[in-house]
Amino acid sequence: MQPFPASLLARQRLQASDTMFDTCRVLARAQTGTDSHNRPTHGYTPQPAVLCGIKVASNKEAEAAGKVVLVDYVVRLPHGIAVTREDRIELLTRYGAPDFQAVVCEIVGEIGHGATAVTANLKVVVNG
Amino acid sequence: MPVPTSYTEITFAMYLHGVLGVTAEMVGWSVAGGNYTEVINDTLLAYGVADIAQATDVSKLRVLGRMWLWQMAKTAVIPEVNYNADGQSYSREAIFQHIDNMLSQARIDALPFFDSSYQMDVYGVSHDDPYAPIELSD
Repeated sequence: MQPFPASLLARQRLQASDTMFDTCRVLARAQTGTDSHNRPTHGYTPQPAVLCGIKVASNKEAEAAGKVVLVDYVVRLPHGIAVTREDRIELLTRYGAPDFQAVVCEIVGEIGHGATAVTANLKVVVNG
Repeated sequence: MPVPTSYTEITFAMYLHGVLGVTAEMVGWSVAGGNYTEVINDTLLAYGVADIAQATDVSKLRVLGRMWLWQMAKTAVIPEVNYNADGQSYSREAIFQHIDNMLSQARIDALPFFDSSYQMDVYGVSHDDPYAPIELSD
């Protein structure tokens, strides 16, 4: 018996991207310089907006740095997108609705690199 | 609008594309892409002619075309299964079921054209219930 065919995987990845109705962008964390104590300072560089799938999380917990926190969103990003857990994600639109207020989130816990998409738990940034 | 009295391969492919409707978009078939060539070949073989210009019975051509169309579409959507991936649920089997239903209907439509001796007879069925209560009269 042949293994899972590549064409079927490609088809499922296409179906996964076709069902992403929202947009977001990765805010890539990068060192911007050093402070007066020669410690590195970091900033977030916005990457191009991409289609994604946003789910509002309800009573969903994730472990991050030894703490368990409630997450606000679970996002599906296109397969193969460059994102690390130090980055942030800005949710830009939902279903194309014009009244959606863009919101910046930090990634909580590990990023899931699945067969059809990249998934991440998000928590809204409230301070900084 | 007069009904068509003949087809070329292009116009027949356009007809088949229209029959497939939104399913054509789903499977990525187009007339320009040549996706209907084999459907037309099978249709002409079933019809019994070597060239579409010889298929003068338009009703028969269309019915046979629809049957082979849905048959090929069914083959094309075999990978459409229900699955879950990365927190998302996909119920794709409904596409397969829809095409299967359309194929069943197309096969019924095509039955009269497969065999010139095709006919349907309806017989009455008599039923004798041995356990029915007996009318006693004396």
